[in-house]
Amino acid sequence: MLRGLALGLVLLLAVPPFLEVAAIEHPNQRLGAAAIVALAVVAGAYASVRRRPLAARFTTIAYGLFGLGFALFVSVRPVPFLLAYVVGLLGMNVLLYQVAAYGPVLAAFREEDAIARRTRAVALRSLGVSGLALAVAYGGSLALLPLFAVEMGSTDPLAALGLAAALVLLLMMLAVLPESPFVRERQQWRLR
Amino acid sequence: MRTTLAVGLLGGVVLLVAIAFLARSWRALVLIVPIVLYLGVGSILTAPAPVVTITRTMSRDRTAVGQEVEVRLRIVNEGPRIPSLEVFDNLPGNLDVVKGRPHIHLELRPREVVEMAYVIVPQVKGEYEIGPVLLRAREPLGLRYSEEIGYSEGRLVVAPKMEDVRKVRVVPRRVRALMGQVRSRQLGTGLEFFSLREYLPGDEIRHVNWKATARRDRLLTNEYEAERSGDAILILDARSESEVGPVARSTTELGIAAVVSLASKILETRNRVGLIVQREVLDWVYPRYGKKQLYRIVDALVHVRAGGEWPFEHVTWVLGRYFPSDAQIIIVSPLRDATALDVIADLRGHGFDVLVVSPNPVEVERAMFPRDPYADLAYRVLRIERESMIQNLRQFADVVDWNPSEPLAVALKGVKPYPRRR
Repeated sequence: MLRGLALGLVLLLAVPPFLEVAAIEHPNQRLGAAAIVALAVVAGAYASVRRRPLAARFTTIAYGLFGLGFALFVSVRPVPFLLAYVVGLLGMNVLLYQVAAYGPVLAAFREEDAIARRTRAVALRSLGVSGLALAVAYGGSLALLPLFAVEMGSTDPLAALGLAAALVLLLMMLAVLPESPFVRERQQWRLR
Repeated sequence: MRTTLAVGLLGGVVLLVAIAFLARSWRALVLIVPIVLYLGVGSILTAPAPVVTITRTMSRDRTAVGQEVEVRLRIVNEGPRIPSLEVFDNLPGNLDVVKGRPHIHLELRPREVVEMAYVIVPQVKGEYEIGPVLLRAREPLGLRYSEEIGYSEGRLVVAPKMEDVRKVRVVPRRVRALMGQVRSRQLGTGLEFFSLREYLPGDEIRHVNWKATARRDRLLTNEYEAERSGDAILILDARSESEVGPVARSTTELGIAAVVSLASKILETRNRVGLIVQREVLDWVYPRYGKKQLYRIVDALVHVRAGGEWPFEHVTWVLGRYFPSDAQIIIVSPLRDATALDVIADLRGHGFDVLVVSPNPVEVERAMFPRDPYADLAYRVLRIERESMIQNLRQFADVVDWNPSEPLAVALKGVKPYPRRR
């Protein structure tokens, strides 16, 4: 069932890129782009059926390029739609990861016993929490949207590049943090 | 540790930030917000390092190929609550799980005790180390995990499968002075009638043949054929070049099964059995009697894997120096090279009685591939070559060409029991 869900999501998320590609005027460019998106769909289907989440990286990049890139700069779709699509891509990757993590174990159970029920409960809880986190991510993004409507900041390319580099550095530092700051605080509080 | 999903999401954020700043687009920058929020929620949820104790119990530590063994793991959580703990018991290959699973996900509360059980069936003989147990605690969003290894190994010794060859008459053809169950063509105490003779003082009354006495009108006594024991030396050809087929059904594994079955059968009839295995090294078990000897032979065979490029002639050298010269030699070999033929001829020249049990490598290989008219033709040629070679060999020894798709007992049915006259 998990695999079917992941496959469905891969196919559903292929619709916007195909719509964007269909709007390309030049027939050769349209054909080439459509072929890339089709290939991405195949990779996504492979990733979901064979439980190989890494194969979906290509799908994510191709969907992002044709779905998000074109919607951002060519067809200029509304921001809530773009956010929904980003959350959809995020959800696809999360679901594929969960399918790879829990799918083989769940599929291997031949009989219904306490262990099978517990494993299923853990998988369902993970999916539920992930879904909730995705909903928070989408809702939070919409809530934060007014902040981005303010026209501010530098328009100088060098300054923008520097700012981008600083942001990237900050994210990378966050990425290498050994533990969540919240956890560390909780532990310290317990020690006291 | 961060998962590939977390790394991919961070990569996506970096890419979007770079695009947003290069294109000077706030709309593009907005797109990182849901990803950052998801990562933020993920940083609140934790994957605590699993602190658990694991105890392993197994229903038996010695078994045979094809027999079930139950493995139980008792997991006790000594640390905080773990929302998702993946438990993976590392099983070596050739152990099939037939019931339960060695790989599960659990939620473990503090001090909670969980028992998981599964049943394995070994497909190939050998000595297996089961474990260690890999424990991986995940947080539910799939962004981080922490791993621990639970060192709780189990050792399982799997003996080769023994075939039922009870009705087969494979016995040593030369006997020793000690009592046994092999008919010796000599007078003595036994159960088989041999001849009649005049009654002599001291003969047991129960041996008097009353019918013959009545016919001849004088006392006649039955004479019986003495039953003695003999020696049999089993030689297993486990060299690399004799290995054909997948591990579980290879000629070496089939040969091992044949050796154990024959050893059991011959020991049952109170004979001595020895073993020589030619593999990377030449190792042997000296002939002895009894059930203990069967265990010695099985122990020697448990660790046998095909290997070594030694010529087969070394067997003759060892046989000539360390083993009884009147022993029955039983060679178990797929007969894939010419040296095996020379060795058999040489052994016959040394005066040994030789029986060759040959798991057919052509049939083993044929079973690996689908039916195809060209392949059928090729295998037909190979079969003819093999039959011709076996025909040549029959002038020196009895040869049993064993098609592994049939039971060993069927192949051994053609072996002629004692007495044999040359």
